[in-house]
Amino acid sequence: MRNLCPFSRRTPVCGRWKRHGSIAGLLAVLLLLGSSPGHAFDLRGFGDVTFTKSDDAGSADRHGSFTLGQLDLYVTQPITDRLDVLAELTIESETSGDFVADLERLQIGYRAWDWLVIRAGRFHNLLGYWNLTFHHGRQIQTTINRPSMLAFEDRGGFLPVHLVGIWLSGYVPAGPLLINYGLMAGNGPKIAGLTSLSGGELDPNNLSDNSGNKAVAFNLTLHPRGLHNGGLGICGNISRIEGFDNTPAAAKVANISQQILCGEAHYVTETIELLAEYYALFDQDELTGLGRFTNHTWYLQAAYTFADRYVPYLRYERTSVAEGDPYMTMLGVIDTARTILGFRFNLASASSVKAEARLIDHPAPAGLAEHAHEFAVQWAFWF
Amino acid sequence: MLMGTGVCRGVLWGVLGCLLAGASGPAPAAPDDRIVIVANRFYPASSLTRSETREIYLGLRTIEQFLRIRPIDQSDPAIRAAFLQTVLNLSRETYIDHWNRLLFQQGGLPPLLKDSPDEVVQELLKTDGAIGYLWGRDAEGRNGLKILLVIPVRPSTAPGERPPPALPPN
Repeated sequence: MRNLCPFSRRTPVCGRWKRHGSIAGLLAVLLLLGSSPGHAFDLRGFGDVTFTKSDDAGSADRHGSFTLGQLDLYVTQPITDRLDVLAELTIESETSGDFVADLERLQIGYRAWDWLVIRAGRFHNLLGYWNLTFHHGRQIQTTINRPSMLAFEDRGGFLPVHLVGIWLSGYVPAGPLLINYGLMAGNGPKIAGLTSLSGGELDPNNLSDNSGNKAVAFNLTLHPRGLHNGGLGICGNISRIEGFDNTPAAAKVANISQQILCGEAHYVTETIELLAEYYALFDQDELTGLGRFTNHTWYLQAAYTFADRYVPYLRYERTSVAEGDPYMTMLGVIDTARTILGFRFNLASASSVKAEARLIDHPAPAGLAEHAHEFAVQWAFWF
Repeated sequence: MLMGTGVCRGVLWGVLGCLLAGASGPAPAAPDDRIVIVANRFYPASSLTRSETREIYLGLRTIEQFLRIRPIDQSDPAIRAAFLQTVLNLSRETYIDHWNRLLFQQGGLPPLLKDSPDEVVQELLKTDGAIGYLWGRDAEGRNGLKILLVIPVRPSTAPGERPPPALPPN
């Protein structure tokens, strides 16, 4: 039982609240609590197994790989009629093959009014629709994976999809509309372990903030009243992201002032799913004075369900990176377009099999093919 | 060749039959022509619209003048189906799926589930913020309750739209 990440040490790895070796104990405690009459909360979870085959010689899936997806456990428990707690914990395999526990969400909330709910903890950031709807539950998302621009930070994501801090939200009726707003403030992320301004990973700073500049995020979504399955929203995130190299001194090599502006539209019925999200990232490195860079990323997804269980779907996603943007360079993000054509079969309301063909286009550098094809099958479940 | 075509046609009808087999059957017959939305007599509002009732049962409207609203469901399939289809325009399965997703997304308090009209009334009497639905005849002659809305029951309602997996957290 190696402990690579003692809480007393604040290394880049440790900042993600990952603990090796304690998973079995943690599971045992959760299961015991869940079954104890004195602590009768509902422990539920998601899981999946995925097979992926790629024709890209640089891909880890070039030989065809079975992957255990995240075991995503969550509990939600009212403390009083206005106070409640929600926790979401995943157990997932690292690229090294080790399994680690990762606390994805932990929040306590107080419902003062419908127009003001106050929460503290670790949340999914107020970015678009997907990040606040599907979380880590792959069974409830139509496709096998999240859109690539919304990948989690520890899976190569470049958007700050997690935030530790406080969150105010609420619903306000306004004539024929229901307005949903959210405002978050918390630790801004950092990028650590950089080698020559590359190879970094976005770290949400779970344990402490490396600077006094707090990240602020907001969203505002309009829902037609009486038709709550559709919405149109705007969102944003403002933060300062410092980059540190991988030397023992962890020297600061970047100081990025970043603004993200985004918009989303969704319409979801029993048969139709239409989703669209757009993000613009404005980055300026104040250490190098290279100027301001603008990046764009977006996706469109459409799905149609027939006979309650057959769901063909299509998604197109695109990321356009400004050349020379130090933020994108540090995280290794390149121009990419993905076309995904898939078919989902709902075995039951809590289990599905999905098959996808993907065409991935990106520039030839970085040891990758210009055009790559992937095929993937996933069996997902909710228990 | 003709036999082959016949076999293909048989397979096609078989496949179509399988596809259609998932369609919902008719809702249980309604034993009354109206559903009433009832609450404790100290419930702060004197009436509700159908839209407001829908928002309460979808978890969008949870507080009424500082009082936490506690919606109550009935396990009886006839009234539950009639209520869900008439007011929420949802099937039972979709409604349960909605609450499962909502609890996963944001936590909170799901509706209480009661087995009989008497149990609903008992809960309404002891909880100021409780709100429930009853057949009109089951609400007659009950003391301590307030009728907020009377809903005529339509004989049949098509299964409705999917709920807010779409909903952002609140």
